[in-house]
Amino acid sequence: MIKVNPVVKLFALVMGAVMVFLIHSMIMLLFFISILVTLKLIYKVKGRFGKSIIALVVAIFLAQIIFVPEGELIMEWWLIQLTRGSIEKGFIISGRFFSLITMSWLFVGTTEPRELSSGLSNVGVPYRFSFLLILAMRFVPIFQFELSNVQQAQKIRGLKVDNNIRGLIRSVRYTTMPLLYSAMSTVNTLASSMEGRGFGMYKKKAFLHPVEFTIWDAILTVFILIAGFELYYLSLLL
Amino acid sequence: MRSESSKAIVDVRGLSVKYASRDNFSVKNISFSIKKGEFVWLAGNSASGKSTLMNCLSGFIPHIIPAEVNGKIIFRGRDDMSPLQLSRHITMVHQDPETQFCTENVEDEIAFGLENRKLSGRKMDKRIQTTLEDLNCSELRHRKLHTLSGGEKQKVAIASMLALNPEVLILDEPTSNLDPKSMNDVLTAIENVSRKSEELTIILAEHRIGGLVDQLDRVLKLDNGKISKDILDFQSLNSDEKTKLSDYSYPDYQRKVKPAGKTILRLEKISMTLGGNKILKNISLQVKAGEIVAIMGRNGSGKTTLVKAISGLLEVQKGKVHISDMVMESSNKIPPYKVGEKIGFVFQNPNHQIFENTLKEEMLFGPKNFSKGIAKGKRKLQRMTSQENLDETTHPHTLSFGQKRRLNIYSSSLHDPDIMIIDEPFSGQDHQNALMIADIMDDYWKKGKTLLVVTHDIDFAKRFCTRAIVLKRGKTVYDGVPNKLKEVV
Amino acid sequence: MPESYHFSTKDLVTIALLSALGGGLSTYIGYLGNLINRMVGVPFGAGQFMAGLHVIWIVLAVGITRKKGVGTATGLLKGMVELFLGGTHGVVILVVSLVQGLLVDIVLFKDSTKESRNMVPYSIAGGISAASNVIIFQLFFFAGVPMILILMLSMLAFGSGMIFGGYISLQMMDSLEQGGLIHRTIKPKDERPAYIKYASIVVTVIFLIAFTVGGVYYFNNVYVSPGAEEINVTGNVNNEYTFVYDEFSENEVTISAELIGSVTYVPEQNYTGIPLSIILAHSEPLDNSSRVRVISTDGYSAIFNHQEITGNSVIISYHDRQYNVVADGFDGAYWVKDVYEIRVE
Repeated sequence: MIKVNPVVKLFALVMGAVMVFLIHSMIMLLFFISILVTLKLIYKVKGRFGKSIIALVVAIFLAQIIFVPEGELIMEWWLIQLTRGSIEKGFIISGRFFSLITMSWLFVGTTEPRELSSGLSNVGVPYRFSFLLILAMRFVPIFQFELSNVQQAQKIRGLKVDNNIRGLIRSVRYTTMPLLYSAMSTVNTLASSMEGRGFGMYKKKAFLHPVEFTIWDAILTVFILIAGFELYYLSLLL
Repeated sequence: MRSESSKAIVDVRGLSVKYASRDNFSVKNISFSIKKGEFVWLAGNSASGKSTLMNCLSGFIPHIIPAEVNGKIIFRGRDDMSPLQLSRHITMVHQDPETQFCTENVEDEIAFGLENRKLSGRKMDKRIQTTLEDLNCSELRHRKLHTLSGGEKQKVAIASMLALNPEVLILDEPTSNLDPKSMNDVLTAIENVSRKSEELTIILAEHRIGGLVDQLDRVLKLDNGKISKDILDFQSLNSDEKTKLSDYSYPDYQRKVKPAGKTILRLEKISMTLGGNKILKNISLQVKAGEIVAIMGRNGSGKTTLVKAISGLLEVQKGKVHISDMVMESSNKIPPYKVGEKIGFVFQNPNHQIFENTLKEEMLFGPKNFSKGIAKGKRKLQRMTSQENLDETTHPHTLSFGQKRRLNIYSSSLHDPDIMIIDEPFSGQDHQNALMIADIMDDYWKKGKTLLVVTHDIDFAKRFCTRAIVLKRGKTVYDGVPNKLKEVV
Repeated sequence: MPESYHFSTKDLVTIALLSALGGGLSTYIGYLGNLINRMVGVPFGAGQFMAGLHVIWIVLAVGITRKKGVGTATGLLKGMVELFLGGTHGVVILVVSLVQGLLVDIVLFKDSTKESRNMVPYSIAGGISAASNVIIFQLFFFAGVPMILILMLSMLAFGSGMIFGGYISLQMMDSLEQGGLIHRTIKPKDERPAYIKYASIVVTVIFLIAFTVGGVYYFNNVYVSPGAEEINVTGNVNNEYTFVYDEFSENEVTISAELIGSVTYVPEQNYTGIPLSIILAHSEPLDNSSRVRVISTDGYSAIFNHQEITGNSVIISYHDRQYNVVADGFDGAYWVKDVYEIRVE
């Protein structure tokens, strides 16, 4: 499969996100979602619609049904009116959310932070900034490991977290402080190690594995633009 | 021995350093110079000021780490170079590779400095290759950093600095967190580098120098911020004198009495799988009250998983753990704070188990949770503050590494648990601190308690423990008296 | 050789590590939020009590580095980390987190404010930043949800932001300073007296209460009937005048109309009022005028073309001391409530 420039993918993600909010027609949205899901299957991108995501989708749907009745009334009980307009709107807005999530998975699942980082440098973002993404991603698993260690250390020293606000705040306090200490005591060593290897010596740096902007990427960019406008006009018609 | 006529490459004149958070100077008015191509062993205990000195040589103090600095360090006739300017000539490997890596892959990590210096792709490629070869680890090139062992990580850290072709290579305790085999690996790699390049000046801070003993040119020993010894011609010493300088043995605790307590801990066919890997395979064992068990094995052999399963920090997946009359199994989970009443657990990294802002609060954290041992905690606190010239309100994070460790052990044992588990008590500790920690553990044992100590240190196991268990790939490969360990490990 | 950069390497490393920490802990924070929802017994919403935890890292980065732009940088990077970790909000988190960072930067704009570590600006920064997530989510996904609910959730998030982003993060910074991990160039004036500390807490609490009371008051009184007695008819006209309903009551008509809005729906019913065409005619619009803007007291406005309002389809009704537009055949957006000005353009 052709390797797409990560910056082009980022552009596609942003365009896609904007598109999703311009689409007001069910059919268009379904079409859009089916493209995304197909891509997700083709690229075998990870991402599971777990509990919390489903909860959000349902919440968004219900919010429309409950609070925004409009159009033909279908059913009514107690304070809630079930209307055709609100169901349609509920579907559209939760469909938007669903598309955004799928899009994000597509992007993340096919892009390595280091590729995005060098791609961004390629289009003019100073490398001292774009490198931060690599740096931050490297420390995420370390902090997650430390998080579990800290929580174990609390428990074995008898910390009981009661199911109330006070308990929660205690848990937060005794969890975040050790991690913050760990992070902040790393700052000096890490900054030393980086400057000791010439980080910031020049305005630009070289790349061992540069990310190229190919003719295919250019074509794809144009295609995304056209597809975007097309989709928008189609949605106006439908 | 290198030629006597070599010129000084670094000249330190009247250097004093004081951190804002400390009352005393960490380095006190020291002067010396280092010749080009010299291999200097920087000796001294943890609080001697070695790290401070090395950070000054690299320019990190005061440019990145704020401190009050008096005196001069002259390099190439200048004393005003920034870390970035110095980075062309001097590179430093820090103690813990984990905190200095900034990428996710071996190759990227070594390329990092080369990229910043704008080398061409071909040059970078070649540098990476030759550096890894010099360190005997070409096979690591395409690995992810998180899959490496401690020793491999340290070699990559050295490679990432060495690839920059420095004139001076500074190494801050590169082996302090490693098991014996990895430690030898790293030291051999350093030896190789030193043999290969006559021009390269190496400054190595280390407690144990192992096989490097025949390669060193000079010993500079710091004590309390001052130079206490400066032996310009290390090789002129006889072997006794050399060994004395790197002595790292424990006194013999003379454990002769075979403990005959009742069984306090019993594991029945414990198996654990983490992240799809079988970490522990069918482990059964019994520990009697009053035993001191060394739990040994290489990194990744399952030691930490074993002790965490014993203490209920990881849920037992298969098998049973009996602690006195309490039984833990997958169908009968017991919350860790309940287990915590019977088992105290000291983690490897002191920073992960300091929760409070003052020494007093920290000491009493456990006792308050268990409602047990508060009076004892206050006594310990008083003793610690008076002995070590501290204050009740001292912030625990301003303590030295050794003090933090001692605080960890005290604060985890004040509620008087029957069993104490201590994970790598000596990692990163100098000899003096290691002895103090051993004494604290000995005191606790003398109250009739049981100790489980995860350690790499064979010498310690032999002299301090009554029993050793060696794990290999999740299985027990040795369980017996520590004296016969040498043949096994 | 390098010039000096606005952000030192150390600043950048601080930004990266705090973003990593915040991003890495987002699952843990989400879990705490759900725990609270369960405790309170609602499906979602109460988790906003933990909203402040998400901004703590941004506030810390700003307070520790004390440079302009750190908040925005941390927000963006933290958003990227969460995006890459596959959070539940997808790409929306980038916007949420970026805005949160930007707001902290704006509130704590002055570097001396950052260094002072004063409770009031920090609490406000944390509060506003935390509350912004509710607003953004409402804009994107919960359009039409009653303002009172949004306001309540915002208040909850605001309070949480004050506590975590303000009070707790200041405590954390003090602790880090005592622990020798961060430094300030200006030392605080020897041992801030205790009463100043308490005063800051009191100010924060007062702020919080004032906000809540203000919000409730707004909804109970101001919002429901601000009540304009008259409408100013202005703009491109010969005769600027003040419209009072009673003076036009002989022109009163009754029409039947159906309100189809994006937010509300009211089935067809009768409305009584004065046709907009008559109100306009009285002002004698100039020849070059082509449209009329109807403006509400809250600033909202709708524009009608002259041709659209010739008949009786658009009227101004007067009800509960409030002038409202009834626009038969127009989208709900044209039904301007609480009209205050009619401007001919």
